[in-house]
Amino acid sequence: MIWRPSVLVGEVFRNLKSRQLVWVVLWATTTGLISVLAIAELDAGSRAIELRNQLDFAGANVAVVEPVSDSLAGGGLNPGRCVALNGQTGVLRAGSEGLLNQIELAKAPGSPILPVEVSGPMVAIWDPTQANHPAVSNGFWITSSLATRLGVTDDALLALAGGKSGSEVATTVQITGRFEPVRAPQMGARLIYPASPASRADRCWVEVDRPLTQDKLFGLSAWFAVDAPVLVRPLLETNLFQSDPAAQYAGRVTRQAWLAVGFVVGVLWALLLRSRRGEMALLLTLGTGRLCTVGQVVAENAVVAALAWSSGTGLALWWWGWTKPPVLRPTSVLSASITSTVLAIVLALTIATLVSFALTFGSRLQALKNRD
Amino acid sequence: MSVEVAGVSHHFGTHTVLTNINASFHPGTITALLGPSGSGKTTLLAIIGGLIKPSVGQVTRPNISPGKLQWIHQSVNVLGRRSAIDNVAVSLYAQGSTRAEALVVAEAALERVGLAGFATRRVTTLSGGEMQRVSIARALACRPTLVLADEPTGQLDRSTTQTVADALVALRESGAVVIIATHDPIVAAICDRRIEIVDGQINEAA
Repeated sequence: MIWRPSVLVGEVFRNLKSRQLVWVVLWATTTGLISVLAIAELDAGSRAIELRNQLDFAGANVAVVEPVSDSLAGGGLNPGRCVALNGQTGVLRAGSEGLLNQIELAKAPGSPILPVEVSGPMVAIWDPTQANHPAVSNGFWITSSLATRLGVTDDALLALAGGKSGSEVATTVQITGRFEPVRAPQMGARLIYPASPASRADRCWVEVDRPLTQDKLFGLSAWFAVDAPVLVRPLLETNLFQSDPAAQYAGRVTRQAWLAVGFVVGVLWALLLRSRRGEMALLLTLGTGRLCTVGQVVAENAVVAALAWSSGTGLALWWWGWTKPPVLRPTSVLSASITSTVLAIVLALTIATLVSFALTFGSRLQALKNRD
Repeated sequence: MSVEVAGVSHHFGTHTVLTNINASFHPGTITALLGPSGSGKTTLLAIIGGLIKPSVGQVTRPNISPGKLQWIHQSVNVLGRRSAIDNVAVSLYAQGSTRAEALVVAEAALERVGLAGFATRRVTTLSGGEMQRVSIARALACRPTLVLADEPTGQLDRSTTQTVADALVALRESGAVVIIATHDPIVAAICDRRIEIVDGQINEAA
């Protein structure tokens, strides 16, 4: 027979109160396991995003297009075709570069510098922190390392050497900006001149939506083949076709960890329930129905499970917020972690319920005699 | 309504425990099942209580609604972490009582077995005899039709046994069929009728 709901609820809480030490230990253990599971899941997600961001920053989605031979009239690539990629589906930004004649600074004769003319958002491709860099400017951009070497400020005028002696001031150029070519370290000692597309370029740099696939490389190759055959290569050779961080996250080891955590918690609860088999047998002999008897003990577990889930998940979220910046805390990772912990708790409760049912079968007389 | 045991025999494998048991048990009477250990007393109680189906024969007993069949065991069966009154009240929940109703009845039952002042005490702080009296109060509280007691004083000393035996007398007044398996002469003395079981067979002595 089933008890009145109010009686059942009251008994659940009176039992919890009477066994508070046992329940506190179980709550603490379950909280610990759930928080470890949640933290492992959250950390795996954050690390995947961090890795993806690092790869993006390093240029994992950047392709470099170079002419196969100097077949274009005037040599090199058509920079107009390169810049025209901006606005195409799947292209974030594209820009071309072409070397200008070498120059010397008046104050450092004998130390030639190779200026580079770029078109399109080239500076932003080389230095992702310059995402708002103008495609065309009135002066030169200088790399941070060259600026430091020459001791010039961002708005300085540079005197270029010329004349018969080579040490006279021929002209001056305005420095309008400084950048860090993290994706093109070979640009470390060069001056950059952003300008409209010229007649030729040495290379075209294209940053695409992630991931940079073989199809996208073929597409770029076809885009330029109208003018001349080109070689398209990923900027980071080692990253090409390796598994995407998102795929690595999807295949993470901790994805199945909820099974282990749920099983361990379920076994712990089952052991506790087994120690209460005499109590359950007693309730059955008093006329309490099997469903009611099982429902009572499982409800006690469910209350502790809910508390442990809340505290364990809360602890993990606190850790997440404490150790990871918002950019590494997307909702998708949070929901994956919550799903794992909920599955673990549901599994544990299922095990506990099945064990409870199993304990209500067999000889009640024996169960009563065997009680502690 | 009486409990009738007709031609009951029982075997555990090849071992015969009971042979052709025939007996009647009547409401308002306490019957003692006497006999040495292993004679089959507990098995007969289990068959009467419906926990074991006899190999041969049948038991006829009144239609017992939930909670109207009460067990009292040698090993004390209580909810160890709960109070005495909670232990008695729990027997009434299966009959649909509210907690408030159950507590009133439970308090009266505790008083009948001499534990009026122990209601709020945690049962594990009580002596063995007091805990057994809580079990008897629990049986009394739900106005049982059938009470089966298996060596209810088996683990108690002589003076404690007397207090429990006195409490068992209260079961007679409940109008239930009361059957007690015992080899304790103090308990046997309070019974209206004694049936001796020897080697699985009845030897009705009185």
